Amino acid sequence: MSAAVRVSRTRRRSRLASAVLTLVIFVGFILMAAPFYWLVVGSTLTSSEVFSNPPHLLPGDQLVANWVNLFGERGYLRPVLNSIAISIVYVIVGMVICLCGGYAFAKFQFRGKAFLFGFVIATLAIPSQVTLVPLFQTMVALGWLNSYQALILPGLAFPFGLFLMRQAMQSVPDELIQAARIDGAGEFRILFQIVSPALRPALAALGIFLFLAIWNDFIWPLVVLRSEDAYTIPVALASFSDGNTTDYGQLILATTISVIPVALLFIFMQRYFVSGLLGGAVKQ
Amino acid sequence: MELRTLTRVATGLTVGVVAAAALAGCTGDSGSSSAGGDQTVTVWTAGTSAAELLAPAVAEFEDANPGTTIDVVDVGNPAIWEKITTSLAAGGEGLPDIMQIGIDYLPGYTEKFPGAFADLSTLGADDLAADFAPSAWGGGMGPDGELWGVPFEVNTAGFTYNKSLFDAAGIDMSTITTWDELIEAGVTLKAKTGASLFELDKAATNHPSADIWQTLTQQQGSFYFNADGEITLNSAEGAKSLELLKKANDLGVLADAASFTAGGASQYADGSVATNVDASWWAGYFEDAQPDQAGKWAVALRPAVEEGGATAALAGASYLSIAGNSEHKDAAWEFIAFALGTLEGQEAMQTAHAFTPGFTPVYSSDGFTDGSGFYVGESPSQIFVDSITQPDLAVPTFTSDYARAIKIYADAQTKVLISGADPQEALDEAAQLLADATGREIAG
Amino acid sequence: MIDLAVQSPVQSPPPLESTPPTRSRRSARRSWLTPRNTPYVLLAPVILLFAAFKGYPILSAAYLSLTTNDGGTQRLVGIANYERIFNDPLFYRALLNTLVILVIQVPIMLALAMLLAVAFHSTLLKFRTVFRLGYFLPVVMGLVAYGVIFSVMLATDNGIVNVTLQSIGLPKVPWLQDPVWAKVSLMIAMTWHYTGINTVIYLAQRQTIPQDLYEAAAMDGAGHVRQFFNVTLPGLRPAILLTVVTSTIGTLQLFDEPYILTNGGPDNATLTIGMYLYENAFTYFDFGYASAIGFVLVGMVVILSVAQFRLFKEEK
Repeated sequence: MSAAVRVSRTRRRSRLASAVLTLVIFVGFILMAAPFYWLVVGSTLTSSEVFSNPPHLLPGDQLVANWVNLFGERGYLRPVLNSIAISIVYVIVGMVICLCGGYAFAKFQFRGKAFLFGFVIATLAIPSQVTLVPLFQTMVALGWLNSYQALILPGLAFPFGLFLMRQAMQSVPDELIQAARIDGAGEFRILFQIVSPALRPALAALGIFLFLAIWNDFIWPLVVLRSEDAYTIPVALASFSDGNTTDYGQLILATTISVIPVALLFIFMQRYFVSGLLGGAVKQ
Repeated sequence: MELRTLTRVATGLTVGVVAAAALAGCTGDSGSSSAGGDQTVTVWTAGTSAAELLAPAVAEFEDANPGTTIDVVDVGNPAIWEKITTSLAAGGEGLPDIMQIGIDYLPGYTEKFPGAFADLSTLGADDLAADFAPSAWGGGMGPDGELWGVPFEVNTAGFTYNKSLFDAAGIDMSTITTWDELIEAGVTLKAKTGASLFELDKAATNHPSADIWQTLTQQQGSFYFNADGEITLNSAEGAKSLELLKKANDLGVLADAASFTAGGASQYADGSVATNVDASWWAGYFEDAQPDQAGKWAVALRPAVEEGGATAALAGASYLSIAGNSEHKDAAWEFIAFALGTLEGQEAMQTAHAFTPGFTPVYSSDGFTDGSGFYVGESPSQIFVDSITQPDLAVPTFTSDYARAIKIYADAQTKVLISGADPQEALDEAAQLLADATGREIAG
Repeated sequence: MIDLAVQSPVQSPPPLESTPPTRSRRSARRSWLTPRNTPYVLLAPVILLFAAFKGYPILSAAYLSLTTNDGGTQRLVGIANYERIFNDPLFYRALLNTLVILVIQVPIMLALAMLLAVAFHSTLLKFRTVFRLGYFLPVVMGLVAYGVIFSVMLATDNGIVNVTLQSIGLPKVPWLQDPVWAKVSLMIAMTWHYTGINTVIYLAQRQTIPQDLYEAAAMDGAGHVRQFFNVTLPGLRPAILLTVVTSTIGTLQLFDEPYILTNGGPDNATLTIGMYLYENAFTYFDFGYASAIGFVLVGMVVILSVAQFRLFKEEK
């Protein structure tokens, strides 16, 4: 068998594998994304069309009407801007805190480490409903009701992010850090200049998780906010619902809009999952 | 290199903190009063329609009371309950001056969190009592005669039916006087038109599926609890209600609400279900949701459970209450008295769809009972007035354990409708569970 | 005593512009950042934030779990709430439901997520950007729209899913009315909601596996399957531990799906611990009992997590 035949056979086989894999993933994609297609269609319908039987599968003509209601009468712009501003601040600060904390947990031995990390994991296990009232009382005591720091600061105690960073840091070889220390690099330099670049995929994931945590947070902002002009998107969405006479077309348009920034962020961050950083941890 | 990174991090942090502070400055404290006697009274509503219906009264009130601002914050339903509950559990911190509270939450709140609400009798509310339907007014009262809320929206048990389908099946609603007759007529209806008589969420996975049983039981003068707070859900009346539901289910005329999507009422428009027996708001909602159905539907008083029994029941209400720690109790009360207790304040309510007030003078005001022509015969608001003004309309005793009672009852109902359990046995079991959970006696 | 970094006075470093080359800068730092205090300096924000916003509320909730609401005041009742839990048939029901979901749904979801991560990494797959986005997006779905969408899809007669099933000759499924199917619906919704986010974690960890390892394995004659088991799986271990622990915790606290899809029904077939806890706090206003349930949950999580950490360590 000549080499050329073998190569073309392998190529053909891999082309077949590629087609099969793409098809399987495509079917799953349809199932996962179908609700979003429906969300987009629903944004263009009236409230009762949303539930019509048989269901609407093609866009209707209510998009403009829903849009005008939403941004005019409803003033949806303010919650969108609030959510974006809060999320940016939260994600930046949260990434730095989790990066530092994860580095300490993964690469240092110190007294109280087991206790501290155990505590962090245990707080992950506390259902938020249980600490809601005491945390609310803390905000009252601090005079922070209806403030943005009340939305941002408690959420910065983010056990999942610390856990994620600690796990990711474990793939960074200790020798790399030792070598940098021998070269005389300070710890912050090691963290930000040597360790972090190797962790870009995990940091991108962390950024997304932080963003999701604050973007989707509902009960906490609902409880601490007092005025409508401080509402975030989920709180505004909840206020659109009044049980019997909710305007679903408008609500679904509002939900669709709330998904867009996350989708953009994800598309932007994606390149870090698939960039040419293969083996980045050992690259110098 | 390192310096630049550190600087970048530091800048990031600084920007973050400054931005947070700046944003915090934006909102400030909107609730507190400022100098010069100006005051702001904050109101939380459970949804947009309530907020919109208050808006004209707010404008008028502010005109008449310079220096007082009424700030209506639309929280939404069910979000408002989580918000109020958290504040109450934190000792009433952060409550607004006025809040809209459902009849189902009010007794639990006032009993579990005494002092959280102002007794409106002490603010002069008793003068208004005569202008409200006694059953609705009674729902806002505590066991010792305190008044915790003034009725804002009131609903009675509904009966909205597809007259064209009934006609096609040769059924004349005016000849049907009891639920037993209705259910038997439902068999004819199903055979001739294919439509189910009414619907219920049998597995209780979505709708508050205890509502129909509740109003059926109230029509017989009973409820989960009696006036002494003893458990009566397994009384003969309670069992009769559940037997009616079982009968409808066994005869195949009770549709399962889980068969249909949870909004839009398309199952009513496409002829799958011929009657809605939820509450009076539904007629207005249906008119808005399915305008093409005009001329086919009618509203009526409910059939009685026993021949000659009550044809109406209270099916829900919401109240405006004042926080016990409000610093503007008097202003808050003045606003409530104006918005809910005068015809000027109630102007928006007179033409509202799917939102019926508790203030009785509105009922006889111009145009209130004029329908839009959507319904054949009497208008929904006329039926509502005929229901709410019935002298034998019962005032149910909700108690602080109402939420538990609903849950335990709904589980029993599921056992009967899905697994074929015996109504009386299922209710006896439920009563025992309720007694164990609450420490209440089962009425003997 | 833990030697907190806060105690060492932070000397202001010399003005940056005037800083002479490396050496003195290094020594300036050395004066306060020692190997001993570095981890505490790094963890200072974490310690502060967790003390204020986790530690205090947890202690307060722990106290609350020892009290009961008695006519408006929280009266200390010792461990009565905990005793009540162990005699509460509904709690056991919720526990059993939760464990069933945990044992079935979490392994399926994580296995799916791992396969997806491998697929998304492979150059054999076309249109990867779009696919990754599609699988990730469900985690963003807001609660209200989530409920509406699943109602539209799962309604027995006119829901999209059953209409589709019938059009290809399959029977209707009572998605929400039948105790077993209701659990299945819940698990499908959870898998839809959370698989993508676990995939992201695996994808990120997958990037840290050096390509040399695959090349070496290929040289040893390992095919794709053996490469997956010998290289990918061990390389993903930190991420697997992370997702196993967090998914376990997330499932033990499961609330959103039963709340919007099944309301815990039919007849408590989908009542979860998270849902039961919520009902006790926010429907029955029994915060003492709800807190006690919360701490029993924490106890279970601690036991399970320790076991999971051990398991993953021993495999090393």
